[in-house]
Amino acid sequence: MSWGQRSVISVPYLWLTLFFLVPFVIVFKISFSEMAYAIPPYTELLSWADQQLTVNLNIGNYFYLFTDDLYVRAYLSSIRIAAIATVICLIVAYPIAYTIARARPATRNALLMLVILPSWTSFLIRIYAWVGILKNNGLINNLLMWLGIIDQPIAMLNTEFAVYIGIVYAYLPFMVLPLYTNLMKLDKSLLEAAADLGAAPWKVFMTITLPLSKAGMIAGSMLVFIPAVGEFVIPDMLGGAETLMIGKVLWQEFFNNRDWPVASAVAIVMLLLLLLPITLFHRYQARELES
Amino acid sequence: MGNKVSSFGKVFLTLGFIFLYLPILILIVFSFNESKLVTVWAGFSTKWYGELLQDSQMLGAAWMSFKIAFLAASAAVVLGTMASIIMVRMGQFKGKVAFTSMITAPLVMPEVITGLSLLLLFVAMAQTLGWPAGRGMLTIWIAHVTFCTAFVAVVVSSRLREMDASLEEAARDLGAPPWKVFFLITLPIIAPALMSGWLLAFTLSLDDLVIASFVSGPGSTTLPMVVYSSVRLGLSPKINALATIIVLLASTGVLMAWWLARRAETQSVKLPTHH
Amino acid sequence: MAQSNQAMLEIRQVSKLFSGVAAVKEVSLSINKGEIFALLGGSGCGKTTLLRMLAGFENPSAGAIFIDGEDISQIPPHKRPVNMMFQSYALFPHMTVAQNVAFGLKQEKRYINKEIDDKVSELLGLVRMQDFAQRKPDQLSGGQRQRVALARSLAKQPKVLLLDEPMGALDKKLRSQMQLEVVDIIEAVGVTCVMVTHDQEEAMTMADRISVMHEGEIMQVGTPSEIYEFPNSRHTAEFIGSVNIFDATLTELNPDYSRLSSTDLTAPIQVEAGINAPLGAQVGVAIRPEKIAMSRTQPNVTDNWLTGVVEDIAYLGGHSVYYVKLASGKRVMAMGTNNDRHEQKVTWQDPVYLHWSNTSAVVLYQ
Repeated sequence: MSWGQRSVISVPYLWLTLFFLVPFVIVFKISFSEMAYAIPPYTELLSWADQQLTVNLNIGNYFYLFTDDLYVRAYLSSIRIAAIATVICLIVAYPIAYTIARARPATRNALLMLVILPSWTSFLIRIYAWVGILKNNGLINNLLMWLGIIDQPIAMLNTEFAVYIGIVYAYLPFMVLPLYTNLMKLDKSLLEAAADLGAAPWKVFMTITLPLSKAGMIAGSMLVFIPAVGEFVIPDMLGGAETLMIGKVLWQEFFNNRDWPVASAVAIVMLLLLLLPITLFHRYQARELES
Repeated sequence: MGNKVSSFGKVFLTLGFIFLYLPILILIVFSFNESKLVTVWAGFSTKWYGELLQDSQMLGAAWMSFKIAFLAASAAVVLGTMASIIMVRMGQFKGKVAFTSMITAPLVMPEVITGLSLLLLFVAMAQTLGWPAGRGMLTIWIAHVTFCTAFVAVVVSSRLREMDASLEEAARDLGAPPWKVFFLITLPIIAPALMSGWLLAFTLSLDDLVIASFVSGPGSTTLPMVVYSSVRLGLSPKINALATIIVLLASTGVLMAWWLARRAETQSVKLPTHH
Repeated sequence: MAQSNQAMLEIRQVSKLFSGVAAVKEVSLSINKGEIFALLGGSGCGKTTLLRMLAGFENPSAGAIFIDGEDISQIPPHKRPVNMMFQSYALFPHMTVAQNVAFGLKQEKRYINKEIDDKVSELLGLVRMQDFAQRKPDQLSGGQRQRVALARSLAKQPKVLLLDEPMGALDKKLRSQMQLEVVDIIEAVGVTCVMVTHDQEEAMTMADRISVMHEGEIMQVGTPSEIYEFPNSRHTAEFIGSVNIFDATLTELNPDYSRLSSTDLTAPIQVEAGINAPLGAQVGVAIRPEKIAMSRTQPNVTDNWLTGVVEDIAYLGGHSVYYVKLASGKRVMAMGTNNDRHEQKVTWQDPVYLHWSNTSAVVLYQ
C-alpha cells in the first residue's frame, strides 16, 4: 500500500477511533467508578497512595441497575415499545415503498421525495406538532367533541399510544427508504415468471416479493428499532411521566441526578442489549457499502 | 399486477402522505393564529413572527446552530468522502472490518449513548491533555462531524459504487497520478452526491438536540436546545412561527437540490450503461 | 503489414495469484513491433488479468514485463508508455470529445496549448470525428464513442496500445465494420497492439497473431490460419470453429504417412507425414466439418471414410451443417454448400458416406 493510500485511510480512521471508539472505552471505565462531589463528578479507578497502587473497581452501579426495578422495567419497556413501533412502522411503510417502487419512473422520484421531505425539517418541531394534536384540549379531542362523538376528552398525550405515534411518524422514512431500494432491485421478470407459471397476484407477492425483500425489511427495522430503544425526545415530550424508556432514564440520571457512573452503566447495558441488532444491521450495511 | 393492487396502493399512499404532512400543515396554520392558544383559532395574525424576530436568545442560538452545521457538514463531507473511497476503492486491508463498523454503527447508535460517551471523552481529555479546554462550539462541532461522517459516507459510497471504475483507470492510463485522477475525474463525477451528503449533514447537525445537550457548555446554546426548553414550558405560537420558517427554508432547499439533481440526471440519461 | 521481427513487448514467466489462486500461470510471450496481437479465450481464462498487468493495474506475482527492452513491471500505470482502450470506452462524461482526447497530452508538461490543439484535431481527423469535437460523450453513438476512445488512447503515441474487448459494447452489425476500420487506423499509425477478446471471429479478422489462453495458460500462439488449420490441442481445436475429434490409436508409422484406428470408425484414418509418437499411442484426430465431403454412394477409397445416418440438419443459408450419427453412436458434423436451389437434397434419416483427404486430419497430442 502506497504512502498516499495510507494517509487517505489514516485520517478518517484516526478520527473515528478517537471520537467514536475511545469514548466507549471511557464510558466503560467510568461505569466502574463511584459518584463523587467533585469535578469531574466521579472517582478514579486507580489510586496511588503509600506506595500502593489500588484499583477501585466499583461494580455497585451494575448491582444497583438490577436491584432497583426502575431500570429493569425501563429496559424491558423500551424494548417492547421500540419493537411494537417497529412492527407498526413496517406494516405502514411496506405498502408505501411497494407502491412507489411500482410507480412510473417520473412519479417515483417525486413520491420518494415527498416521503423524505419531512425528515429535512426539524425533528423536534415535528414531535412538538403532535403535542398540539394529541393533548386533552388539542385538535383531535376538540374535533371529536365538536362532532359530539365524545363528551369527555380522551387522554392521548402522555400515554404509550402517543409514543408509538411519535416513533412511527419520525422514523417512517427510515423504514421506507431501505425497503424501496430493495424492492427496486427486485428483478421484475421474476414476478412475471411466477405469474406466467400460474401464481395468483397475492401468491406472487407472498412467495417471491416478500421473501426477496427480507434484507430491506431487516435493514429498515434495525434503522428504526435501535435508535428507538434509546429515544429521548419522543418519550419525553409525548410519553409523559408514565412512560418508562431507558433513554429518558439515562438523561435524568445524567442531567438531574448528576450521577455519571450510573448513567455510564445504563449506557453500557443498553449497548450490550443492542449489540445483536447492531451486528445484524452492520452485516447488511457492510454488504451495501462494499459490494 | 392488477388494478386492485394499484388502487389499494394509491389509497394507502394518500393516507400515508396525510399522516406525514397534516401535523406540519397544522403547525403552519396555527403560526398565524391571533390567540396564544395554539389549538384554538382566534383570527389571522403575523404577530408571532414579529415576536420571534425580537427574540435575541432564539436568534443567537439559530446563528450558532448555523455556524456549527456549516462547519460540521463541510468537515463531514471531506471525512465521509475519504471513508467512501477507502470502503469502495481500496479493496481489502487490515482493519477494514473495524473501519466499516465505525462507519455503520453511528447510523443507528442511540443519541443518548453517543452524547454521553463523547462528553466523557472530552472531560477525560481536558483532564489529561488540557484540551479541549472548555466545552462549547468546538466540542459540538467534533461530535457532529463524527456522526455526520457516517451519513455522508453512506450517500457518497453508493454513488461511488455506481461510477464506472474504468474511468479512473483510464485517467491513470493516460498519465494522471492518483491525486490528479481524484480531482479531475472522480470528484466532478460524484459531485452531486457530495452536495446531497453535505445537505444531509447540515440538516442533521442543525436538528440535533440530544448530543449537543451533552457536549455543549455555557454560552454555546444551539437552536434545538432553546426550542426544547421553551417547549417544555408549554406550547407557544412563536415555536409554530419558527417551525414554519424552518419548513419553508428546508423545503425550498431540498426541492431546489432535487430539481438540480433531476436536471443533471436527465442530461446524463444517455450515458453508456454497458460495462 | 508494417512489422519487423524486433520485439517491442516481452512477457517473461509472468504469473498472477489472487488470494492464492493463479489467474495467470507463467506466461511468456514476445510481441513484435507493429504487430496486432490478440489474447483469445473464454471468460476467466486470464486474458484480462494479463492485459491489466501490461497496463499496470495489476502487479505480476512473479515474472517481468519488458517494453522496448525496459523492465516496466514495477512502474505505476500513469508512467507507462502504454495506453488502453477500455471495453466500456471509459470516456469522461463531464468532458467534451476534444477534452477527452487532450487529457493524456495535458498530463505531460512538455506541450503548449497550441500543440495540444493541433494534435487533438489531427487525431480527430484520423478517426473522422472532427465535427464532433465539442460534443459530450453522451451525445455520441456507440461507434462514435469507440472512435473517440481510440483517438484518446493513441494521443500519447504509446509504444503499445491495449484494446480490451474492443467490439464488446457494439451491436453485431456495427462490429464487422468497426473491426476493419480500427485495424486500418492502427496500421496507419503503426503502433504495436495487444487486444483481448473472447470472440474468435474478431481475433481472426483483426490480429496478425493470436494466442489462445485457457485456465491462465497459453495453449497456442500463431497466425489465424495456423491456429485454425493446425490446432495443437483439443481445447484450441474446439474453441476455434467447430471440429470433429476422434479418439484414435496409432497403428502404422511411416516417414511420409501414418495410419490410426478409432473405435468409432470402420476404416482407418490416414494422415500425411509422420507422427511424433510411438506406435500404440492414444491421440486425438481433429477434422473440420468443411473438410469433409458427403455422398450417397460409398467413396472409392480404403481410408478416411465413414458411414452413418443423417440425424439433424442445421440450415444456415449459404451452407448447411449435417449431423451424421455413426453406428457407435458418435455424431459427426459435415458441411455442405447450398449452391443449387433445386438440388436433390440429402434429408433426415438418409444413409450417407463421409470422406476426407489425408491432408485434412490433424493429430492432437493433448
